[in-house]
Amino acid sequence: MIWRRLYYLPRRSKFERELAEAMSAHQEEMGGPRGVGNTLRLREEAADIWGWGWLEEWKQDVTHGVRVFRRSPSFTITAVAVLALGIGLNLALFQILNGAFIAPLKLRDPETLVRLFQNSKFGFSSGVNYNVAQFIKTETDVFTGVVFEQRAQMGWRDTAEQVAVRFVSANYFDEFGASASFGRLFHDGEDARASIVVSEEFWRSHLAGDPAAVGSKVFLNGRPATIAGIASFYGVRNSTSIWAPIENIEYFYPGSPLKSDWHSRNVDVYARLRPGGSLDAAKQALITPIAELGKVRPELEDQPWIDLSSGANHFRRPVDDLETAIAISLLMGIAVLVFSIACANLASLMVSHLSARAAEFQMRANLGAGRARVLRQLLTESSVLVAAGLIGGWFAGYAAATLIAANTGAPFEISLTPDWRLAAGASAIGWLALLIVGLVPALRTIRGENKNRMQRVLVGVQVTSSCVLLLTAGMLARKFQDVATADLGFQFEDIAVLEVSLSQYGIKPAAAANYWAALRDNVASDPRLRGVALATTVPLGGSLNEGSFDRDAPGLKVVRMTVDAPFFSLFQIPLLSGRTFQAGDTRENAVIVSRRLAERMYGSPNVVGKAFPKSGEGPRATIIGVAADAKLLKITATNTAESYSPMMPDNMNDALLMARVDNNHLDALRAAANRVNPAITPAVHWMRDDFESRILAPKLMGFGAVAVGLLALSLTSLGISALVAYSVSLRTREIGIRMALGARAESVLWLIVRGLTWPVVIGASIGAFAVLGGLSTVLQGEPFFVDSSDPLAIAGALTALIVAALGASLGPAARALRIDPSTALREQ
Amino acid sequence: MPREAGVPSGTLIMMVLQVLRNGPLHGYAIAQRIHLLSGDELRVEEGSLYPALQKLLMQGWVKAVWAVSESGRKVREYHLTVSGRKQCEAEVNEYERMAAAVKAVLKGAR
Repeated sequence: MIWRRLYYLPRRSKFERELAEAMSAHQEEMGGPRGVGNTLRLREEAADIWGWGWLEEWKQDVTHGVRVFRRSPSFTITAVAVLALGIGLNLALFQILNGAFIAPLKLRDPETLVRLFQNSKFGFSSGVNYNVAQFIKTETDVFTGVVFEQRAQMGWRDTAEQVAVRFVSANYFDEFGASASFGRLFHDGEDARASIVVSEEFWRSHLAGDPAAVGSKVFLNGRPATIAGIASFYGVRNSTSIWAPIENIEYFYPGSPLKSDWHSRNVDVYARLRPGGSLDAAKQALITPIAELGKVRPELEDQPWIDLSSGANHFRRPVDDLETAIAISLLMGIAVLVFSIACANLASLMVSHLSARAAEFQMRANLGAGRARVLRQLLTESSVLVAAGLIGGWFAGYAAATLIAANTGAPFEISLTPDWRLAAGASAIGWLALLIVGLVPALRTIRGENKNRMQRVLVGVQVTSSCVLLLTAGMLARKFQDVATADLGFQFEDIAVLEVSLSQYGIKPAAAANYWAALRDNVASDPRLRGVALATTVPLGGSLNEGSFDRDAPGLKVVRMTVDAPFFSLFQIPLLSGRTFQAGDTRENAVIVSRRLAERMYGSPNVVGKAFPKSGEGPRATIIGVAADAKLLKITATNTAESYSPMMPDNMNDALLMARVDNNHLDALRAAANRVNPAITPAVHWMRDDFESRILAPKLMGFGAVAVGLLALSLTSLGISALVAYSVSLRTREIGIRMALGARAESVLWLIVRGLTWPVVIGASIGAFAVLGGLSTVLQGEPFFVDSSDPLAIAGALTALIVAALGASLGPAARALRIDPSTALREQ
Repeated sequence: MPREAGVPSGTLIMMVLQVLRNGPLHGYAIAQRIHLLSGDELRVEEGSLYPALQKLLMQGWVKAVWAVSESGRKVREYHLTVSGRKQCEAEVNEYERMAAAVKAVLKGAR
């Protein structure tokens, strides 16, 4: 029967026509129609047997709704656009959240994956020696697969940029279950010499997301390599830009000691347990082979053993760090706020729209339509709007997510193919919108309420949300202004950085010291290069060594730098007292502190000769100098100070060279390095590029927040304007009488604007309280560091809000003043 | 004088099926046949006949085809299907059982 009903559905107009003909034939046989007018009803009753009557009614409602909306195109376009943008923004962010936190980790059979550690009586290590791992892979059958991974930083293209590279074994992608987005990945038993695989993230940010990049040639550390494929894989903690075959490491690092060295433990090793095998059994099974290996390999004099732990813990979700999580959550909160403003606004517009149709509903009621029927009609109409908004929002969200993914080099994974979670999110948003935009005004309409109390509440909600957004935006924008214009306390404009991982070339610290000394001489003899210094961390650069002294300087984060003597003069950081480093200084006996550290720890800048840190056991270094404050690494932070230790011979493998370069002669610096050792390819870049990328985050946050704040403000103005217009229309008669009785313009204006005062004042107060009382504690900390008491930001935000509210109400209020008393009194 | 009443509730479907057993009929003819067979006692209104016919169509008990009536008009003729014939037998049996039972009660209570 159900099949016949379904069969009927698409053919029902044919069925109904046949029914009509049969019935009219019937009437003719009877000798003409008897009761004119009821044939239609009889026919409908007969057709209703098929059970599709509700569909007809629904179709009627939809058609009616479409017709109504077509008659007021500006309302419809506004409503659909607002819904589409609001839904799109939310969907885009939800997509990011989904990819970042909710969607499961992409990793094949994580439960049988283990990580190997090579420990010994001399110490524990997270890495394993390459040759020991090779031995486990080829000479034992404990695992079904052993995967190698070694991290490196390599120069990309003209080596101006360092990118994160992982040298991996050929089975890497297959074992971890990664697949190629384009091209092909590495596979066991295949020769992949000089070919590399690029991450999707990197491909989007550096190769324009062009599929033609597969098969093209690029330069890594100055050596040509072919891109074999693009992988969408997040792998082990910290993002990866490029994977290269570990078998081929000498191609990129001539003289690499990896395969001959039995001492260093610098390879991350993962392995796959045999089916049914356990972690403990595998650990036991490795004891004898490793002991045997120790006998034939005297280099393993420390008698190592292999420890195992579950491998999946070492894989990251696309977003694992707290800062990104906070930033995304904040964005999501903003999106929800904007959406709530948009919906409140639409609901308010909807109320006005429906009250203009009061006569229509009255007529329907008179014709016998029950409240439920009218409610159903109104909900159907608004679901037409929401459906259009959802469709638009789906595309807008897709576009926004693509844009974000392409422009941020997203540290998160955005799956652009919709999954069920996204669909669930979208429908949740749709229902929310329908509830606010559809149900609330509809209920109000069928109850026949004519007060604008609800609209005032809606305006209050909008003002609250706008206030929160504007205050946040003001603080973030001021922060960016601060960061972009502030004096960081050191000069980096003409300074270039040269970095190279000498240990990858098999160079030991003593030889590394010679390399740097020779390079320093070459720089000194080139007139285009003025001034040079070495450090283990480059200011404005990537890595950060940070500590704190809870007892001596609570709340202060101390950035620890390891630098040589000319560092201070190169960056023009004044030494306020004492001296810079000299021969004989070691990290155990000498330290230079920043003024701020001195003042916070000792209460005075005159600390030369004192022991550092102030309290604590064990040997302490002597303060030999006090440097001016310089925001070397965390340029947005407000809670940092610096301490400097001298470069030691064992730092030479981690050293970076910085030089002041005249007239953009970056090539001069590269040439100087090439003259020392042409086989070694260092990467060279400007510090000002580092600065740009450092201020990118506050810049984006500042501009983004202001844009969203203004969007919210204009939406709210729209809502206020609609409310005032509506209340004027309700009170036309009253205003007319007052005017006729000689009321003055101000008192009429006040009459209209009065209704707005409380929504705006209460809304703004709640918003300000929410920001200053709660949200600002989040914003003061990492990674925002905003000044939540900045008077300019607070005053600016509140002024903008009040001016917008007044401005929005002025237009419709002025219209009220032009009301002609006689016309107004003639109405109704 | 005939009372010309509507049909007893629940029996219309059965009667329509039953009159169709002797061959296909169009809507007006069905009403006429029932009227005649009932000795002018029962009159089937359009308002109940056509919903009943739609129900029969939906259940698959009858099929409708276009035909020409004796008076030369184009009409919808309703044919009983195999399942309709079965349904008819089942309903008639059920009705007769019930009618006998009701009769027995009326007789016994007299």
